[in-house]
Amino acid sequence: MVFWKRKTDTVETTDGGWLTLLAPLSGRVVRLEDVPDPVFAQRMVGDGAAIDPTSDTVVSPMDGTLTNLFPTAHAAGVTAASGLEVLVHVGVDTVELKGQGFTPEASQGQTVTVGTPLIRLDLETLRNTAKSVITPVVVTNPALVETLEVTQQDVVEAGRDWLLRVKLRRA
Amino acid sequence: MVEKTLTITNKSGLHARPAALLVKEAGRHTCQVTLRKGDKEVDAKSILGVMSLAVAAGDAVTIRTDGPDEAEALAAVVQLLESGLGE
Repeated sequence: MVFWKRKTDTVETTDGGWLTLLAPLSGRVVRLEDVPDPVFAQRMVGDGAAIDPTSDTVVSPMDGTLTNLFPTAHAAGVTAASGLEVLVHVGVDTVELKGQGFTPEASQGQTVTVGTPLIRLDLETLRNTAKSVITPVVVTNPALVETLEVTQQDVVEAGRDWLLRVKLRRA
Repeated sequence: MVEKTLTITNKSGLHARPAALLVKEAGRHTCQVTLRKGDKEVDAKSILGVMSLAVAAGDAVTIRTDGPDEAEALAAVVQLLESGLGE
């Protein structure tokens, strides 16, 4: 039997108009409708999925530019060359924590590749201070999206397993 | 093209929930809608754009609309912002 080494560093990001987004955190996959924040559960910010994290470093889900890293470092937005925007929002109502429990690992405006560390989390603190640490990962510009698929896996590993696959609409 | 400057009053500024409401309203109009804080201007129809301004309570922002329904769009967005975006 032959085991192929899994390619983790060269994800085919634009294969046939599909863009693959890897899990930015390790943990259990949570359906977006089960996120305890209506703004995400009702897909007001965008479509995607969420992760109940067990790892402490948010990594970039795709190649692109870190277009948003909030001063409080509780959320990060990455824009791909195709224009697709992905927001990783750590926890619920965590803007209120004013940065406590979050350490930025990258700078807004910098080029990132899949797996680049973006934010380090003090999960132990956040489990006590945040309403929830469940982290939505959403595509925020649905106009570019033709189809969005969520992984069927119950648990994903950061920077290794895919979380979302997006087929881009033809321009 | 029309524009108006106002002060954001809701407590978390233009973060996820209020930003989503603003983007939804901006998206209802065909004209271009931009939001400016200081010297940075973003597309008010992009939630990442709006959130990248990191608008906090007490910040002044300028809404500019440009297109066929610019007056209606400006009025609607200004009313939404002045209402405190549900906060």
